Amino acid sequence: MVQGITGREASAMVQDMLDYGSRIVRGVTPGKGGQVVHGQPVYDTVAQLQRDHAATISVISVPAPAVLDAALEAFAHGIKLCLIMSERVPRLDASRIMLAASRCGCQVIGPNSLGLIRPHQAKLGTIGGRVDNVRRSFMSGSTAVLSRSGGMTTEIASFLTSHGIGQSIAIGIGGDPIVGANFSELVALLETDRTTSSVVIYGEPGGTAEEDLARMLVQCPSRLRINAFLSGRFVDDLQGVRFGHAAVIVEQGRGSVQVKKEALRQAGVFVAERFDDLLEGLSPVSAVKAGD
Amino acid sequence: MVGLDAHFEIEGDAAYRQRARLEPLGTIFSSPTGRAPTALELEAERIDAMDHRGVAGRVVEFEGSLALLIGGGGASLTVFDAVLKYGGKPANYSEIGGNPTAEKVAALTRLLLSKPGVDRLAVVMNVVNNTRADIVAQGVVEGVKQAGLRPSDVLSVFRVPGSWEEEARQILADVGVVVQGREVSLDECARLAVADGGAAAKKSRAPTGQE
Repeated sequence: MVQGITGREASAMVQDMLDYGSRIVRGVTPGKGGQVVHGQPVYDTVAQLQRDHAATISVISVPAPAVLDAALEAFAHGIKLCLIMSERVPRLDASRIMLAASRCGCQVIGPNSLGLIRPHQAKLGTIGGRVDNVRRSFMSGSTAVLSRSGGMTTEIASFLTSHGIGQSIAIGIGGDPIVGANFSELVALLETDRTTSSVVIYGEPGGTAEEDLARMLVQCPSRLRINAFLSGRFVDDLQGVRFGHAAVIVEQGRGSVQVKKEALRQAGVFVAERFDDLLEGLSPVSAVKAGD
Repeated sequence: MVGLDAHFEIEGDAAYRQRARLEPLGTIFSSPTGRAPTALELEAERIDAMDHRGVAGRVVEFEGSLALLIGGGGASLTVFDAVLKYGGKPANYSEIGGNPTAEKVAALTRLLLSKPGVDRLAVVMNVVNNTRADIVAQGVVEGVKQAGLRPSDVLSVFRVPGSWEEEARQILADVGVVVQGREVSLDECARLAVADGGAAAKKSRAPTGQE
């Protein structure tokens, strides 16, 4: 289901998701119950929608001040996977969302996430845009793509696709400092995913996501081949300047790209110096032998 | 545990919840750069605020001759890194995202080209999801013309693959500019932009095609 379904961007997204084959089970916008968006009836509340349907996934595309409320409503009514697209969610709200999510057994992706896609089965969010672009950019395969930037998720996937390397899943984890699933959690999940044999990670300055992943890999080495590309090397030299995503800032050396790269290398991750080097060690073989 | 020191910042995204308390304090949020914004940066902010649709802004001014109209966020960082790596001198950092209007893109283009010393513009974005490449193309062409310049003289690279890219290709072909497709990586586009830049390069360039 889509919370905030009647919004301009949300309704365009619904059409693209439907065109791609995602199963959308209606939507919610308080006060607009009874309307229809691309053939999908709109309800006033999640509770009402869930009386008629059994949605387990929600895509939240509501204004930032309303996200906490929307998320809590979703968790309270059976939602087990919640993609939060909204940007600029206050950090206190984000903290509350993550706490509630873990108590309710719900996995959150985002906030500030463009979405996720399992080519070519289904997608959540606006990732890839129109269906023709999605089909061109993504291809089914055994490499997972995890990215802090929405645009770079598609860019990396498109790059891999053009070299015959398909994707098992591509996830925009979101550009905010507090997100529902970071590199560590997702790599741990992918460890037991038989359709995935390698992972490409896109990182940026700020936060500790890359360092946390490195620490986890040192403690529990992965069977997966992991390649990483980090942008924003120049931000290391511009302390205290915030670029783009809320999390992208280096303060007194903390969150610097150089430190992240070194940590990842120490943990056995291949860190590409040039974007084009991301292909290292990945071969265009989409079949994965069971147990590999 | 005893707290000996603290570093705190007041979160801009939550400011709307404390308007009554914050208003009497005047401007308390530092600009993203941590220094007073330049005239160019202020004007870019004004242009971006023209319209709530999309982002054509987040400009940070640098000293250089290569203006950058780049996006989304991650790609902007990637392209900026690559431009520096190849020895380029960026005039600015910027971010295009969401679905900005052609007017907004044009106004930003004209602004970036107005900076003294700027002689080239590189327009490079990741494979776009919900930004329309043709609208970006329209805006850039319009902005260059409003600046009294010719797109084929000033555009060192245009690479905005994805939604509506065929339409964008046509718009630029009509003014004599060949666009780069998605097969040309962000890194390679930065290299092309730098290789093309500079007044010295302009003098030694063979005449370009018709417009």
